[in-house]
Amino acid sequence: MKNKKFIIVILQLMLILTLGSCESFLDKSPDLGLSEKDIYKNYLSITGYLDFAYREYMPNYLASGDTDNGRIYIGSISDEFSTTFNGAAVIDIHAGNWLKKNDNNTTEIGNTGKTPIGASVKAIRVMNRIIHNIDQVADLTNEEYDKVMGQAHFYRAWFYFMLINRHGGMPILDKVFAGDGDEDLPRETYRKSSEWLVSDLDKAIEMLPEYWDDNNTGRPTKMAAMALKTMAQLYASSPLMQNDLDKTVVMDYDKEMAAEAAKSAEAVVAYLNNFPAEAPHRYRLMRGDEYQNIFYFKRGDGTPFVQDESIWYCRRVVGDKSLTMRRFWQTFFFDTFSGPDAASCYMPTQNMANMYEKKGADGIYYPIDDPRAGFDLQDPFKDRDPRFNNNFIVPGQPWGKWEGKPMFVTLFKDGHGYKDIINNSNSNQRGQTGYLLKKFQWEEAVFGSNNDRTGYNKYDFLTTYIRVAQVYLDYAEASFEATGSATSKVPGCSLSAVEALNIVRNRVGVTDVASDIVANPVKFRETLRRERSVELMFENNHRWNDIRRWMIAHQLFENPNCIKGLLAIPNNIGSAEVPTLPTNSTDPTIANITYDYEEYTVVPEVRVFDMKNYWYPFTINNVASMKNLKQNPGW
Amino acid sequence: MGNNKFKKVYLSLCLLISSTFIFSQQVIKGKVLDDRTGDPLIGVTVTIQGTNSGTITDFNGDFQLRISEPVVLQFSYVGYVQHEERVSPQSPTLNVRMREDTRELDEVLVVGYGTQAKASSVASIVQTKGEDLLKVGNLNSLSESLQGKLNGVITINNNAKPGANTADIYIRGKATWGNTSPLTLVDGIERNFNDIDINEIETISVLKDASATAVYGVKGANGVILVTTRRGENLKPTVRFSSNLGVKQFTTNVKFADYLTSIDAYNRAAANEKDWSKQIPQSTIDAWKNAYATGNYGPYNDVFPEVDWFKELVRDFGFSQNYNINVSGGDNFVSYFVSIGYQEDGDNYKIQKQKDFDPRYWYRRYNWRSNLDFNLTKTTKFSVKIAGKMGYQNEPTGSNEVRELFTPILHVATNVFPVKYSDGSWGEGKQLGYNIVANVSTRGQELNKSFQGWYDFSLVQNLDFITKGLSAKGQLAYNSYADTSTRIRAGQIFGANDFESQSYSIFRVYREYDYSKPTVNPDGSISYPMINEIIHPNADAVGGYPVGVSYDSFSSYGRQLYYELSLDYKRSFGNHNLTALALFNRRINDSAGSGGTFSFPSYSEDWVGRITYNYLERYLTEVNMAYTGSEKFAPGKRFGFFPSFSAGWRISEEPFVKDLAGSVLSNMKLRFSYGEVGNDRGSGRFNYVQLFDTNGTINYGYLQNMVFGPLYSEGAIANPNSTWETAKKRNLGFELGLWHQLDLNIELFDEHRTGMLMTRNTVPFWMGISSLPAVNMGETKNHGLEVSLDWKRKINNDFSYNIGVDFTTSENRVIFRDDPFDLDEHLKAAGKPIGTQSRFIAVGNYSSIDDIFNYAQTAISGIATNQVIPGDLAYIDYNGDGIINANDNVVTEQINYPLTTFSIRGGFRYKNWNLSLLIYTPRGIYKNLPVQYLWDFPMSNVKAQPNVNESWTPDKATDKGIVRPGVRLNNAQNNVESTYRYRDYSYVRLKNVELNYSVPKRLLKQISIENLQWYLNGNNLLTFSTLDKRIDPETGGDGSYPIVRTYTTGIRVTF
Repeated sequence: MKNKKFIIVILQLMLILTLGSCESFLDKSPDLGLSEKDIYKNYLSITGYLDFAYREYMPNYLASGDTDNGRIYIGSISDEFSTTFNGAAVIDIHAGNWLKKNDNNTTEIGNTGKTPIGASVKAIRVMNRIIHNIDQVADLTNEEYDKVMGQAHFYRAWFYFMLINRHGGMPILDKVFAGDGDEDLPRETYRKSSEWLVSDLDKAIEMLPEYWDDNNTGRPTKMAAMALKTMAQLYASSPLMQNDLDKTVVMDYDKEMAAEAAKSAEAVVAYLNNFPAEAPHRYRLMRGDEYQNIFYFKRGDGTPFVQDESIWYCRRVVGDKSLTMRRFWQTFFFDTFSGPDAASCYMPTQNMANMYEKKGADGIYYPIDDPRAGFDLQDPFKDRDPRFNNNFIVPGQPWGKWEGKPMFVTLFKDGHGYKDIINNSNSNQRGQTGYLLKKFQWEEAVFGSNNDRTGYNKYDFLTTYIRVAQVYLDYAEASFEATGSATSKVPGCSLSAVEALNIVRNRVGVTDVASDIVANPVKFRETLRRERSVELMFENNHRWNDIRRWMIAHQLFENPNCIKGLLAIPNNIGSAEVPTLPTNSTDPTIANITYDYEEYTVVPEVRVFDMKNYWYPFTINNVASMKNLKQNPGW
Repeated sequence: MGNNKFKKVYLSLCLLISSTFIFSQQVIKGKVLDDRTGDPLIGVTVTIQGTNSGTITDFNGDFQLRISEPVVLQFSYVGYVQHEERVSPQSPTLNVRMREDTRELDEVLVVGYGTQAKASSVASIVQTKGEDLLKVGNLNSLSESLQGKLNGVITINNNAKPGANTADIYIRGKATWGNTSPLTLVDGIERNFNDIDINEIETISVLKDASATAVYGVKGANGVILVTTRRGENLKPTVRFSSNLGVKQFTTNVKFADYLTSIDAYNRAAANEKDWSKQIPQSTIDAWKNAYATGNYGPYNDVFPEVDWFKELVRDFGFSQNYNINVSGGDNFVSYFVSIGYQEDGDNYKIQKQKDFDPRYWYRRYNWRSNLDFNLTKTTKFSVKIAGKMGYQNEPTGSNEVRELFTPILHVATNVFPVKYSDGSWGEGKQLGYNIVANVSTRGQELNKSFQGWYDFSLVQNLDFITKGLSAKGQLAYNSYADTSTRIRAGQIFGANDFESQSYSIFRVYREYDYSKPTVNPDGSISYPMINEIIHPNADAVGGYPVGVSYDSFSSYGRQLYYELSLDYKRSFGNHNLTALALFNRRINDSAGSGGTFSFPSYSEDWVGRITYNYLERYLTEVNMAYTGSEKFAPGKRFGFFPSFSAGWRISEEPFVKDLAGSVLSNMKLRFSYGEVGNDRGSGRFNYVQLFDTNGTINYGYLQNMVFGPLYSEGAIANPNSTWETAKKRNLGFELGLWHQLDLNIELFDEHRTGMLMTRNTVPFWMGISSLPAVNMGETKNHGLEVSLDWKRKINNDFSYNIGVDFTTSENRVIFRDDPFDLDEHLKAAGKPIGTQSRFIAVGNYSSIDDIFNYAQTAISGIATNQVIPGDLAYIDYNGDGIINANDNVVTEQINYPLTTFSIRGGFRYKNWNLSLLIYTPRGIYKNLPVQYLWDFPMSNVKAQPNVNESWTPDKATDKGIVRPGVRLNNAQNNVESTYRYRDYSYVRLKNVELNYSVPKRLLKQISIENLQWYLNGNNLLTFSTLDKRIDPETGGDGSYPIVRTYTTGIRVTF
């Protein structure tokens, strides 16, 4: 039929047109960037990929806003600090309810973005790509191969350690996940996870250089890997880590693992003393008179970027230190700004102040609750451990200058600074402890007239993850927990627990641990832990991790209103010397005020901590998505 | 008689024109009358079939033509059935009676890449005419005027800023959580249609089902809007002129509680927070009481300032105006439509023009269009369309707070500083930036200019010599647009960035008086000592910085080249009617953003085919297909084949039906379509390429900073398999026409969409990368119903009326969105509507402290349990874990876009008077009421809501359900998204009314005007909703330029 013919003609015509269609018209996707091959070009390119992870994912606790810490100083989660900022993200963490449905970007406990967990998994992905594809990099010398692989294994271990000491045992993350279901892996126990990271560290110890040339200093070294191994093994021997995935209960140390940790510490100490002489810088326990410079140091011609005590640290220097200091540690009267930066101050607690020993009448240092210390709350700063003065600014103390005149810390009752905190809308209704942090601050770091902030940049500070003193503290704890005695030595070790501890005490002028305490394991453990908290105070999240791995957090925070402050009440106001309460912080009459002291509960500061809080939860979405992922107990 | 004189002149003119083309032969004379009334019809086009020669009837309905042989004359007239009459030179007179076309069955529908007779169409298409849109009144965007006009098309206009009020449009509900906007084409080319002058529009056609949209392949799944512009067709040159003037005002007014009530509430709130330092002292209250008693207060009062910002900034009426003149006509060789339009939309704010700059909001737009069709030969037609617009949109410069003026009106303090002090200096708050009048008056202006140029060329060649009914078409189109803006700013003297540092160039003053120390003056007046004076920006401020201009910085630019080749076939073989189309097109799109960097051009390519066949115009079938490609996807995933099939049965054409009910049943048609369409809009470009990025450097070094780099990072994970989302659509349509007066149209549709691009939800964090690839895995379904009913009745010659109802409703569900398999059902997306909103369920107010502590613990961000007070809202602990947190957010059926709309249109004509109206009713919209309308003391200012005294108090028992929470300074507990904050935004609106009067034609004869109409119309006249009366239910939020009500009057003249 004629109709049919026409239909066929048309159809044929269309078919011809269609077949003629070529996709090439659309094939215009440009070379938008680099391909994976470009990363494997040579030593420099693969290092460029590795270094990206260093820059992006290393937690720089001393840089406000660098990680998702925002305005949170990491120590404020534990009992080290209380916060004066109403909007502090840490307040949600204090409430103890950490479980979220979707991706959790909450500071510290979250697992997305630049939170420590979120950053760590991203860094691990980078390291896995390097470890799996190193053979694709052409023309690597053996030395270059070792440098790249040594670092990659070190970082994989380091970042994995960041994961497991928060979440507990994790799946072995040794591949570059494609997202096709290969990521649905079962969790291992903490022990298994820790063994895997230690095996990575053993490889790193093999491959990493003893020191880097001047230009490359800051990259991880063999020493860093050895110190991290010690720390990881000490953690793995700790009570919390003895729990399996099913329940969280109070456990004992694993003595064998503790002995391993002690041996690793011994290896670090031995290596410290036999460090190659030609190295550009040495590792050493710095002297007592250099103590404050462990934490900040003057920068200038010929002074190094790192202190001898630092073994593993973040080489990224904080740019604008005024931001960090104002946000973290300074209250209103030090800066001329208003708003949350001025209000968000983290104040050291009385809980921490109480850990500093006091010299007794016999010249020996005792804990303040020991009658021999002769501690009097009405004269609380007398004869304290010298580190107290290094770490705390106390109420009424002169600190810094404003237009040439000395300023006073007016955080005593009804003082200028005290009232500022009460009245400012960013901090009102939040209590204060009376103290300010001194460890990472220098007196010049105040705002001058005309917003002059040069004083803030007089010194530099670096986030130090592991320093020499910690190795001795790790040694002491590992040795004591392995042997059950302060004076016994783990076979193959040169130091006993008390010997290691005394090295740290003596360097700041604190006497050896009193002999009756050495003989009493319960008291010695308290001293050991107190010593660790005092020496490492405000550094990273040591205290927070320690109270969790020791499993004492649920007792410390049994009463949610456990955070204490020191209220300094002027008692000679109205007297001849001080007619009325000074109205500004530079009034010289403040020096003449005397105080009655009162320990009081800081409200509304709370710490809600149940057994479930020992391990951070996985988000509801993650648990509900993965067939193999077991949620942590209690969540 | 003047009449006759004119007639003579006119006729001789006609004669002259005619004689140019036609050899003089026998003159035939005729008269054309209305079949029903016998009235003469004026302006009927009379053409000799097979030629382009002819004439039109005069004012008496008379015409004459010269013919030499028997011919067929075609009579066509708008609104009447086309009529044919055979005449021969031997019968020189004839009377023609034309029948009014009440059913418009011969209406032509614009479909994708062509037109079809409505009668034989099997697709689901709604169409409206440009002339109907003109009745909407002075709206400066086309999308807005579509509201309620097209069944199944939902438009939401959430902003009335002059020059920026584009409405959101979606067709047949939503079937994707991605981009739901339809494809819009103007004269067949993808273009933004918002700035077209409505006077240029012939029709707007909306393609809804797969049968209609399949030809758009990968772009058509959300529906397609086709705008067709007018072209010349009349023989006689016709000039149309229209002008109008509009008056507009905001539909809402803002009121707060008076100051004394606010103080009282504020003190109660401060007490609730136990913040005694914030209490306002009695001395202040007394001072204000005295001020009110003596009338010593006001917006310019130094000591007792009281500023109603709404009153200060909003004028009673704004103005707009529109002018358009167009000419259409044609002859054997060329037909033309030429149009020029001007539109001006003025400000509803009371902003003053300044000496150096003009910070007022306004929009001025010039439109032009020239559509020319040339008959190059008898078989060749060449068309050129050139159109464009130039728009000038002006607004105050500065931060968003200035531009979006309405939010500050809601939150700025009213009783803290005056607009100006008596010494002439601007008032200001303790902090800078809150004197809104000063903000808009002193900072500068921003003039945004947008140019748009469209150039189309097409050539149609009839290929009858190959086979009858075949033709070929080639088309080339070029679009370009360029947006620039000029900024004039006070204080911008040294360069582009200085503005920010000098951001408030004119100094302003804050003065605080001590109300507790009144001094009675000898004249009995009371004065108060000033205790604080703050001069902004600082005490040394000189103010009055010179004005600087940054002239025409570039904000965006684009150009698009499109070309198309097609073959068209149309022929009847006896009772078999066949059409076919084969088409190919390509598009290259180049665009640049601000700064002038071009992104890589985007490309697309389509292959389209269509075959329609019907037997006796009774059994209808159609096949559409498209093979289209999108450059967003990898080779092999780019091109897709999208077919659709449809069939129809015109039951009313069956002989047995005609026999039974022919007199009653004017139309009855059943049709069904099924097909596949795609949507590539949800995808980013080049999703399939795995990239690594160069990413900065790093420092190491012992003594020195040694730079290492470049550093590399992994880019977003690629998905080489990503492709478009596919919609499988079905449509069942039923048309019924009775007595040539009633039209019923019912459409049932459903849609199943698969392969929606989305990021997986079920990947654990240890995957180690945050930018996961988009994967084709989402799945939804959508179904609905559209009903439209029209009744038209002509009672007699003088009176006719019509009434119509449109109802559309749809319902959608997410089928798959990669929910974690083990998630609580109330947290999953699957099984719930697209765009579900989750919220806390408010159950009441805490009645006591015991109540708070016995109830589940609050873990709502920003508030601690011990800060919750009696009177606050209590929410259900939905998962029963003792903690109220995000996991207790419950998904509800309530969504924030309307899926059901109801509109009623009606009108009547009495003699020369015509009235039409439209009522628009979107149902089922739930949105969060903005905080500015909910809570007291915005920005800590003493400014309470009018209903502040209906707040919870301890004596109000809670068994009466939820009451407004007690007054607080910190509303974190009550401000979370909850069933309390969500309000029903449904409304009933008298969308527009037009009353017009056509001057009787006999009166116009003398002044050679064919048609003169005066009209008055109104838009958004009345609104009914349950919402706070201070907010328009259609508004986009507190920051948008509020919705306006307009009254327009104007004339339409045809020469």
